[in-house]
Amino acid sequence: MSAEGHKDRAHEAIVEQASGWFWRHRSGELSNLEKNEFLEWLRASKLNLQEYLEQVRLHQTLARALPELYLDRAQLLKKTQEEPSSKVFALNTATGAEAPRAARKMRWIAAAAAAMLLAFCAIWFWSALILPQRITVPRGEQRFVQLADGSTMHVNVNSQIQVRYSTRERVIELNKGQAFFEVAPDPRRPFRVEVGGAEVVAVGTQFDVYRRSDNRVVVTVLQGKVDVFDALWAPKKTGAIESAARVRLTAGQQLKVGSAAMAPSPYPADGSAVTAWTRREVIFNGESLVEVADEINRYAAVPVYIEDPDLARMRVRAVFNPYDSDSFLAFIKQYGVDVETGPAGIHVRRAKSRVSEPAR
Amino acid sequence: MNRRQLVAGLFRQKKAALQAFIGRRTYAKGETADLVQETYLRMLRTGETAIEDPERYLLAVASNLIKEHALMTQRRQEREILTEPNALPETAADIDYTRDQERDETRARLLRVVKQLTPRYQLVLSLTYEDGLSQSEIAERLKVSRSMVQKILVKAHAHCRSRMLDRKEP
Repeated sequence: MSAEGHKDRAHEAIVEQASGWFWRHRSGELSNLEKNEFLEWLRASKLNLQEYLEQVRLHQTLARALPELYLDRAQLLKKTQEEPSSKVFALNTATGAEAPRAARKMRWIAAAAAAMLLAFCAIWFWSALILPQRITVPRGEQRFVQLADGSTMHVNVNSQIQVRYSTRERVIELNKGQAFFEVAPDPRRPFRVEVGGAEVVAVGTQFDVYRRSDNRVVVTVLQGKVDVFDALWAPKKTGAIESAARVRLTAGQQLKVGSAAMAPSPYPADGSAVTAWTRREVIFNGESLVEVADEINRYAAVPVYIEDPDLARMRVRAVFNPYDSDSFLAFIKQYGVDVETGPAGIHVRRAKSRVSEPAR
Repeated sequence: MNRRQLVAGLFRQKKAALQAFIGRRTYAKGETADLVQETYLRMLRTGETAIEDPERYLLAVASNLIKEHALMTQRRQEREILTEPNALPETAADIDYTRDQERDETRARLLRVVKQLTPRYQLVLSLTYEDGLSQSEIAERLKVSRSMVQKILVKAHAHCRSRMLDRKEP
C-alpha cells in the first residue's frame, strides 16, 4: 500500500514535469540549453515521454471540450478577485476539504523552506563525500553520471553500480553490467573499481569495465594506466614478502579476467570499438554471429536467437545501432534465413526452402 | 464574450507540428502503449545527433506513427473485406463506434475535473482554450505576472492528468 502510494507520488512528479515542459514550450522560444535539457528528459524514461504525449492529448481534448462547459467568465473573474492570494494554488476538490489542507501544506512548506535548504546543502555535501550512491540502469537505457570529484561514468544498459567515496579512496562497485570511466586525477585518493573478486585501480585515466553475464570481466584501457588485481590469482613472491599479483594495463590494452588461477596477460584491443556503446553503436570485427546476437540482446527488448549452428559460427564485420534490432535482422535476412517471431523472442533458422540459393 | 465562437485563434501561437499531432484521430487505449514504446525507441535511436527542435521532432514522430498505424489498420480491413465478405460492418455507424464512445467518456470526465478547479484556474483555462490567448495576454488581462499564468497552467494540466489517472484505477 505504502509502496503503491510512493509510486503514485513518483508518477505525479513526472506528470508535473511533463506539464512544466509543455507550457514552457508554449511561452516562447526555448534556449538551446533548455531544448537539450528537454531532449535529455524525454530520453531519460519512457514514462516521461508517455506523459508528455498525454499532455498534448489533454491539450487537444480541452481545446475541443472546454467550450462545452459554458463557463461564466464574469462570475469567475469576480470570484477570483475575492480569492485570498494565499489560495492561488489551492485546488478545490469535490468535497472542498482538500483546499484548506493544501493551503496549510503550503504554509508549512514555506516555514520549513529555509531550514530545509540549509539541511539540504549539508546533506548534499556530506552525501557527496560519504553516502554510498546506488545507480541502477535498466535494459534499453544508458546513463551518464558526473561524480563528486569531477570523474565521469558512462553506464551501459542493464547495469548496477554503487559509488562509495570517502576522504581516503574512491570506490566503485560494479555489480552488473558495464561502465566507461574517465577519472579525474587525485593522487591522494586512488580510484578503484571492484568487480566480483577482481579490482581495477586507476590514477587519472580512461577505461572501460564490463562484467559479463557469465561473470567474466573485461577491462579495456583507452588512456593512462590501470592495475588489475584478482583474489583468485596466486600471490607473487618477491624475496620473503608475498604481494598480491597484479597486471598492469596501458593505453590500447585489454585484459579478460576469468576463473584462472594465474594472472592472464594483456593483449592489444581497439578501445574505440569497445567504447562504441557510449556513442550508441556496437562494432563487430570478425565475431561469430551468435556472439553478435548476444551483444545485440543486451539492448533489445525482444531477444534474437540464432538456432542454426552453421549460421551461429558465421563471422561478422559490421556496425549496428544496438537499439535498432530491425537493422540487425535486416542484415541477417540477407543470408536467406527464416526469421520467425515467437512469444519468447525472434528465432533465426536456416531457410527451409532454399530459394535464395543461387541457381546452379 | 461570445463563448460559442469556435476558437479559431486557439492554435495561432502554436507550431505546425502540434497541429499535425492534434489533427490525427486519437488512438485507442490499447494502442497507446505501443505508440509510446515505438516513439521512445525512435527518440533513442537519434543517438547523439543534435535535434533542432526536440518537441517538434517528438510530435512529428508520434503523428507519423499514428498515421502509419491508421493506414495499416485500413489496409488490413480492406484485405479482410476482399477475402471475407462477412467481415463487412453491418452499417457504416459500426465503424469506430467504441472509439468515439471512449473519447466521449474521457471528455465528460475531464470536464468534471475542470469544474472542481478554483475560479482562478477555470478562468485561465477558459482564456487559453476558448479565446486562444497567450500566456502574456492572459497575464495582462488578469494583471498578474506571466510566470504566474504559466504556473497556473502547469498546475491545472498536472492536476487534470493526475485525476484522470486516479479514475482509471479505482
